[in-house]
Amino acid sequence: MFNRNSNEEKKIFDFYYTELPAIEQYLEKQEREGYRLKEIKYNTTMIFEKCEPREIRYCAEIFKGSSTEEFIESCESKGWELAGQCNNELYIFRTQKSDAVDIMTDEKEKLRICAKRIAHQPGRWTFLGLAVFSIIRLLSAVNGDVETVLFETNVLNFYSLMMIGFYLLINIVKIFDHVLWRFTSLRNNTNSKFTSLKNTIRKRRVYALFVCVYLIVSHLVILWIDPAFRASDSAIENTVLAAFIVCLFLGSINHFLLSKLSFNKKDKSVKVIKALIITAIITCGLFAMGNYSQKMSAEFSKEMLSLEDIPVSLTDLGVEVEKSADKGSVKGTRFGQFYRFTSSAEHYETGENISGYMHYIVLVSDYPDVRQHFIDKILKEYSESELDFVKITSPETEWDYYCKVKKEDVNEYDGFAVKDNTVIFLRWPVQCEKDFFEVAYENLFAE
Amino acid sequence: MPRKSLQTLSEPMYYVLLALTNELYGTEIMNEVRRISGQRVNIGPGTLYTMLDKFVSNGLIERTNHSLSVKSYIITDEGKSMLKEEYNRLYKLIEDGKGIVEVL
Repeated sequence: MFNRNSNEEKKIFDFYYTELPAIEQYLEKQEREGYRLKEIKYNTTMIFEKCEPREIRYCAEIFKGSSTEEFIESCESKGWELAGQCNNELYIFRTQKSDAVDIMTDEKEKLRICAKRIAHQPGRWTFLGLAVFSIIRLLSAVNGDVETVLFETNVLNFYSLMMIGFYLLINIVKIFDHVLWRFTSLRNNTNSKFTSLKNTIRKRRVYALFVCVYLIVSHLVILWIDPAFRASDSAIENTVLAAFIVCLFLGSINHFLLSKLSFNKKDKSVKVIKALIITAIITCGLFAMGNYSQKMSAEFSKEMLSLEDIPVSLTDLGVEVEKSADKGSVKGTRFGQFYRFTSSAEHYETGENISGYMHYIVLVSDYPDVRQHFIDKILKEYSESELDFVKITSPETEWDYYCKVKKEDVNEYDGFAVKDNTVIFLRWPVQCEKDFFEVAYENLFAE
Repeated sequence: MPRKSLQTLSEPMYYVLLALTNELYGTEIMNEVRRISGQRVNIGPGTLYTMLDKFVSNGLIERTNHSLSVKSYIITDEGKSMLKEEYNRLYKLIEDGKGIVEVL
C-alpha cells in the first residue's frame, strides 16, 4: 500500500544500534535481489529503487561529531558512496571495491560509540514515561491530599499505573538487555557481539510477543476495572482515559505496521500483531457495551428507591475479598496493609450486579496503636467536617459502623467499620437520590 | 583534567599524533599514518574523525584553517607532551624486555 510505483519499494526503517551488521546484511541481500537503497526518508522509511542485481558491500556506521562533512568526504575519497543517513548519526555507505578500507577500523571504539547511543534509546523513552507518570500523579494531587493520591482507588491512578507501569517494564527489560550486551561486547572487544540478522529476527519476535502480552493484559485490566469507575464526573479523568485508550490502539497499529514493513521481512510477528489488533477491536466493542450497560444500571439504581431490601452487611453486599494483606508490612505509623475488594454478587432481587457502585479500602492490623491511630484519624477528620457522624452497630455482623451521612447531598457517603482488629473504610461513590440512602441508613440502624 | 579519558594511547591514536606533528587534513592524515607505519596501520574515516574530535576536545590537537571547507589539524603542546610520554613509555617497555626477550 506504500508503493507509489512499481520501480520503488518502501520499507519502514526501525533499527537498534546492536543491529548494524543486520542492516548491512539486509541491504546487501536487497541488492542481490535487484533493489538498491535510494534514500532514507523522514528517518523512518527506506526507499529502494529497482536495479540490476549485483554483489555490493554495505557499511552502516554511527558517527556523531562536529566534522560530519569531512567524514563523509573522506569516506567518499576512500571509495565509499553515501547511500543514506538517519537521525544525523547513522550513515549507510556502499562500495563495489572489495579492497576498500573499513570505515571504522578500531572495533573497540566502534563498540564504545554504539554502546553510548544504545543507552540513549530506551533511556530517553523511560525518562519520558516517568515524566508523564509524574504529571498524571500531580494532576491527581490537585484535588486531594497526599494520602488520597497514594491510596485512593480511582480511575486515574489505575489507568496511569497500567499505562506507565507496563511501559516502563518494557524499557527496563530493553535497558537490561543492552547493558548485558555492552558488558559482554566491551569485555570481549569484538565485533562478533553485534546482533546478527538471525538474532535480530529472534529478538524482534520476543519483543513483539512481549508487547503483545502487555497490550492484551492492559485491555483485560481495562475491562476489569472500568465498570467499577465509569461513573467518574471528572473531565480530566475522562480525558486521560480516552487518551490512554487511543494510545493503546495507536500503539497496536504502530507495532503492526512496524512488524509488517520492517526491514526484516522474515519477522513472523505479524501474525501475533494481527491477533493483537483483533483483541483491540474486541476490547472496543466490550468497552462500548460496558458504557451501554452502565447507562442501564444508572437508570436501574433510581428504581431501587422503592425497594425495602437494602443491604446491611458485607455478606448481604456479596463482598468477595480479592487480595489478602501482609500483616508484616506495617512499619511505624504507615499503613501498608491495605487491600481492596469490591462487591460483585448479584444480591438484589432483580439480579442486577452493582459492582462499580461501591468499593472498600480495608486496613487490617494486629498492632493496636496503628489501628487506634487510624480510627482517631478518621474520627478527627469527621468531627472537623460539617457532616453528621453516627455510630451504628449491625446486629447481623457485630461490626461497629461509623457512618457519615450528608443529608443534603448523599453523593458522598463515607464511613468505616470496626470489629476486633479490623478497620474497614467504606466509600460509596454512588450517584443516586438522597432518599435511597435515607432508607439504607434507617435499615442499617434498625435493630 | 582533559587527559583523564586518554591515559594511554592506542596504536592508531599514537600514529595519528605522530602524523599531526605536521599540519594535515583528514585524507592526508590517513595517508601519512600508512606511510609512517610502513603500510601496516590503516585508519578508516570513521575511526579517524571520531578520534580527531576526541583529541580536539582533550586539547591534544587543534583545528587550523576554520574558514575553509576542508579543516586541517596540528598537534598542540599538550599533545606533544602526551606523545613524548607515550614514546617514553613504549621505549621503557622495549628496554625492560631487552635482556629477557632477546635470549628467548
